[in-house]
Amino acid sequence: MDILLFALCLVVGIAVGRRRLLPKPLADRSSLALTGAIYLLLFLIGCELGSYRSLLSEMGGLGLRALALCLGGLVGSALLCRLAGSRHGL
Amino acid sequence: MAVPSSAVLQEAAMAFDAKPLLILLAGTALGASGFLPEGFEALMGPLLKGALVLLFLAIGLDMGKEERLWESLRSLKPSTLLMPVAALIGSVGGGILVGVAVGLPVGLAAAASAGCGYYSITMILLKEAAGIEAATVGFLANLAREILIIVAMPLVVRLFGKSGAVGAAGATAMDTALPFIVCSAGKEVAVFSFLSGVVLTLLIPFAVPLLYRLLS
Repeated sequence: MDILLFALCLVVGIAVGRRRLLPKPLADRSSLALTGAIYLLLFLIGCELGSYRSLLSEMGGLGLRALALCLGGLVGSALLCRLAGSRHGL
Repeated sequence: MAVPSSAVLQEAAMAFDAKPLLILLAGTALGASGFLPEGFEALMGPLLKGALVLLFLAIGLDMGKEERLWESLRSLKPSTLLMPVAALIGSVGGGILVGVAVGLPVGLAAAASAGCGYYSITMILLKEAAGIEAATVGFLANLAREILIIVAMPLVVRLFGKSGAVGAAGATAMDTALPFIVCSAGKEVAVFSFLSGVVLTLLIPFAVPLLYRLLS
């Protein structure tokens, strides 16, 4: 259900932005609000991450698996896009 | 294998925005120091949800007011749309294959790979959907992808061609990786790369939680 709530927020945000329903000084600061929200969330998650000592001690193993995942995703995207691009003359 | 020159590395270091990483580390240091107030963990759930609602509203507002973005999206041809979709599917497919091989659950491997380099949002969404350990994997995998793509772009272009490079850059094709793609693959891919990144940036906030729920 959360995903529907987030989709709704996104659509409401776009509609408000497109129709210029917010006062200009406030609308001009939407990028700032976005950056602020991301930073706040990262800080909060960081706090929780730090409080899990056991997770911090597993960071090396998690990091290696994350790196493998990164390479798998990167190569997967590159191969499929190369295929899609060659079919469309890109 | 091509070794990036020091000039390329220097440029890459300047393009990489370290602020999100530093903020996360500052939070981690505070959490590890034990100075957090009692009951912080119970507050985390509702706080995170409220902040996510604000985040999606702000993303919408930010997109809604950008006339140029809508003009670019209107000019999208179906074949241009194919590229970000292929990048997302390829990333998830490759991520599942490798992720399962290294012992990660399918749902986490798929969701974290769907982040396509957009590490801040992927971490936040995975924290909400799957918990702190999954969020950490999602963060590290996507941060590594952003760093790797800007450092190794010449090699990526040589191995996978121009469209392959745009796909490999994922969501970062519209901002961080764009100058490196243009530098290695040529100016003609700039608009195409930007649009691919924009479409992926719109898809990722939905793909990450959806894939986690479907495959877990």
